[in-house]
Amino acid sequence: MPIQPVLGSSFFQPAAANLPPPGGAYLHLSGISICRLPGGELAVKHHYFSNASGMSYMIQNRRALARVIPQSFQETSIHSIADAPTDILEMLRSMSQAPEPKVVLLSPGAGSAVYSEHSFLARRMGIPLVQGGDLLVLNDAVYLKTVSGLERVEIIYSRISDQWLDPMAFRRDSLLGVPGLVHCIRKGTVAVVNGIGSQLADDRALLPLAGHIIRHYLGERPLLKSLPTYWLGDIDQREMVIADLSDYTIRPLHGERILLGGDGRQPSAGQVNSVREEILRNASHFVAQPQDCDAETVCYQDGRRAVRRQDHIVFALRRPDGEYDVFPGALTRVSTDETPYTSSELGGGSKDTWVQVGFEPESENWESPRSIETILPSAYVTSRVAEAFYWIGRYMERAYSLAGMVGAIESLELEELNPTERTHYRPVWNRILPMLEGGGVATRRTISNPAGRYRLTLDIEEPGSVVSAILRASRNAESVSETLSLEAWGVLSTLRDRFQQTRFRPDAAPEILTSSSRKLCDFARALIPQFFGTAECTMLADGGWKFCEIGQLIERAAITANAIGSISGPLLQPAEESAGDHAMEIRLSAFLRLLNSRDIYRRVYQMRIEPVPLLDLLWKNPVAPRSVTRCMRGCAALIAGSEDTASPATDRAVAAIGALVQAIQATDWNSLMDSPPARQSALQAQSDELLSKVLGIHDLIADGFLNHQIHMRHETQPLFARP
Amino acid sequence: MLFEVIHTTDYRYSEPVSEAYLEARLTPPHREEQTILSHKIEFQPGAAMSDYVDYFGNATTFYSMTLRHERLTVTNRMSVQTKPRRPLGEALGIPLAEARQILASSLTDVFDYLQPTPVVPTGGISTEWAKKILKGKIPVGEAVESLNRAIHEKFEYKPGATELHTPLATVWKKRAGVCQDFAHIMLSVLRTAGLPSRYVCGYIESDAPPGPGGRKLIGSVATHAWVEVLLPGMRWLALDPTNNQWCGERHITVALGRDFEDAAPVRGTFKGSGSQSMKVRVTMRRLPEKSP
Repeated sequence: MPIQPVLGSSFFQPAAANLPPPGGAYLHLSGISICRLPGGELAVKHHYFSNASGMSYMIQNRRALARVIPQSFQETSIHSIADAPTDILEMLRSMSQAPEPKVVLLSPGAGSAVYSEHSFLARRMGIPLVQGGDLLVLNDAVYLKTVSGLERVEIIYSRISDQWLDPMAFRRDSLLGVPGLVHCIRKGTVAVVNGIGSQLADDRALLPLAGHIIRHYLGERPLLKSLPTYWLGDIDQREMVIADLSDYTIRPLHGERILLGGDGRQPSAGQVNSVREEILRNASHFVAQPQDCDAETVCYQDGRRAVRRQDHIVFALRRPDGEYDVFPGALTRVSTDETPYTSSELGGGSKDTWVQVGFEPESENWESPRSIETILPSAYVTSRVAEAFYWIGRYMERAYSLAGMVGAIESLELEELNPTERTHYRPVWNRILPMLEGGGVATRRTISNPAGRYRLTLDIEEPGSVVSAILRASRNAESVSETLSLEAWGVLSTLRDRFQQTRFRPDAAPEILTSSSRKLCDFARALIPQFFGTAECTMLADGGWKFCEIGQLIERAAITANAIGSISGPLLQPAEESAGDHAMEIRLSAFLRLLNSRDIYRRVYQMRIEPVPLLDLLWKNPVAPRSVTRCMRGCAALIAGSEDTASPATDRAVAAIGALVQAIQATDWNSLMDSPPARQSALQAQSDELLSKVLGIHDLIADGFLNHQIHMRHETQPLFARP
Repeated sequence: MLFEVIHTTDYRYSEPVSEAYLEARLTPPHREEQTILSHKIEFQPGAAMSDYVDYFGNATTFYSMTLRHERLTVTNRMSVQTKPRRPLGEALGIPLAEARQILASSLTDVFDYLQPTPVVPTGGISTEWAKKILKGKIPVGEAVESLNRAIHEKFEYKPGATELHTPLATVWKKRAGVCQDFAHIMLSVLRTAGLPSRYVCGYIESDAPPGPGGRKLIGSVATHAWVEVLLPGMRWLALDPTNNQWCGERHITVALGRDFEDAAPVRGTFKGSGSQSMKVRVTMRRLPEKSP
């Protein structure tokens, strides 16, 4: 073996040297692509050893065909591939000695081009589909973070390239991986399939050596020969290839890219020249294979016949006993109208491939045309997903409240308040608004003028603006796009697009600013409830969605509590001047209007607005939408009622919410306001106290269900005992 | 000589961090020229540690902290007895070209130490230096010593001139840097010339020792870095380009690798919304030795 393609490969990972291979072998599920030579012989074109990419297409093509022409399966006996996912799962489970080992499929996420395959395989195997952020290393073992707590993971079927798998061991800038994972493999607490380093075996420069490797390491004769492959890092081979470049397909050592050829056509002189230059710049990165290798086939498409090129990927699995099974099917890749290439990454199509059972038509082994899925999909909610939903709920509610406030003010301005009324309103507005984005923002916001309100609506630089909240909600939604319903996503993206497509022009005339803020806020006020409603009608009411509702309620309670806190001091104090009572009523009315609760107040009390009933309505009322008590009870019901969240954290959160509600109900606003010298501070202190308890519920939920601080403290208790 | 070393690495975060993972290469190996009398690594806040030996033979400590915390400190304490390094003898006198041939015959063992790395590229300006200084006919010992001297003379030791991840090309251009840069420059030239060489991370006694002729050395408050080059007979020669000398009793070896990335004393991954800053402090004190 030459040293360079092994020790010099970028897929050789020194940090993973001497790791125990899973189940005693590196490769457990692999593919090879085969093609037909001009003489009719089959030959191996490429190894897909590290990653059996395309397996799901093999299974799905069969299912599709069984639906379209079921009769053909009744007349012919075809080996079934329906059990492939079960076989893979059995193989994976054999990697651990644990009686009920936990298996997960680790994917880079929805950004990956083959995410649908990850999702399909995980579903068919009935195992959780996870991303790096779903897993956590604790005491040299890997855990899955779920809303019910941490769950040990024994086996990981990885579809992430090694270099991104663990930022501690490989690329430091990886955000896809699990820090510490390699160390857990080393300690034998988790198995990652295929073994780390397997990508080395996919190097096309090793293909010419395949025959030697098989003879030397297995003592066997290769059953299939390899397609002649020339490594261009070798000067003799390079010169031979370059002399007749147009006869070859030129490819890099890894990946699906094709520099030249691969389409059975004569390349132009210009193409040949530019590829020659590229080869000479970096010859050792490329191999050449004869162009003339893929078989031609005739396809019937859209009522006509077309000649296509085709090759096949066949898949094999290493059984727990060390024997190998080749799946009786293949991913046959064909060129299409759009592309002369077979590779699906380059636009090629695929079709079903049959392996016949003997010659007897009545074999027991034929594919049933209507096979019932035996494995039920598992509705698994990981903490990452729940957390994203939680923040969708919070940001959407935040955007909704703020849009309501800005919209209310614009309406009031339109109604042409008299100057006295404005002077009474404005302190209320300016006090309430900044609390929407918790502290730390240096710039002072004002809503006294159209430009200020416009910025609060549409300025992306302003973290507390409506547009910022909507963008944050949609970023969270994108990260869980596979669990969000299409309909709900549709509403959210309509909302986001409207805000993003509106140009931010803070220097426009005040009338334009006013009308723009108003329209956008009205739009948000209409679409946000539509989002929640659509999602509820179209989504699984699982743990993920529940956390969206919990987030919504917590945000609403926090906004209410914060708003009351910000006015409880000065604004509840009756003014001394003659118009005192009137001024007070205007302030309180403005306040309720901003919280969209003035009509509610009137329906509940049917009297003029006074401080104590107002406080009762917003804190204690069991049915008013903005009431903290109602929001908190709603949270408790969601947490307690969900089986997904049954864990010690559930009891803790429910108890804390119960205590908070009790504290609210026990507060006597009258007495707090009636002790003149200290009344402001007493009222303020109680408001602040209750507010911090409301915010504390967020920490409790985050630590209990989302980031597991509480659970881990329990797990790691002995470690923290100081001698 | 007998030394006591205390090396602290202190991480401070702008926001509390919920998960932190560290890998420390802080355990000095027993070697012919150094005996480890005591050694202890301590992490604050305390949590499980577990050890393994990495690809380059470094004893490595893995630490994970999965509870919210605001600060993280690693303290490395040791006392080490050093003695003069054994002379390399005849190997130094072999002409460089011949040494290269001999070493190339055991390519699988030295392959890693001849390759460019992302941090230490080979070729380019290193080729000019290699041609000028590492001539094939010169005895290999003499050649690498003059390279060591040339780097010391042509590059200025200037703390702050470079950062942890300054590319080597910038160091070549500025002709200034810290010990890590000096070592990387030397590795680049040595590997370009086909001499297997590795990066060493360790400690150095920088205070001038008492008595006449005591010389103050560079590299005190942080960890030090130097280079080892492989000679025929598979023995490593340690040179310190920052201080223009062969390594001796005042150097303590801690970790080895192809470059700084492999041998970094502490590296971490943090999960949290804020940023983190790291402060390193090393104190190395000579202790009186009991007379035998």
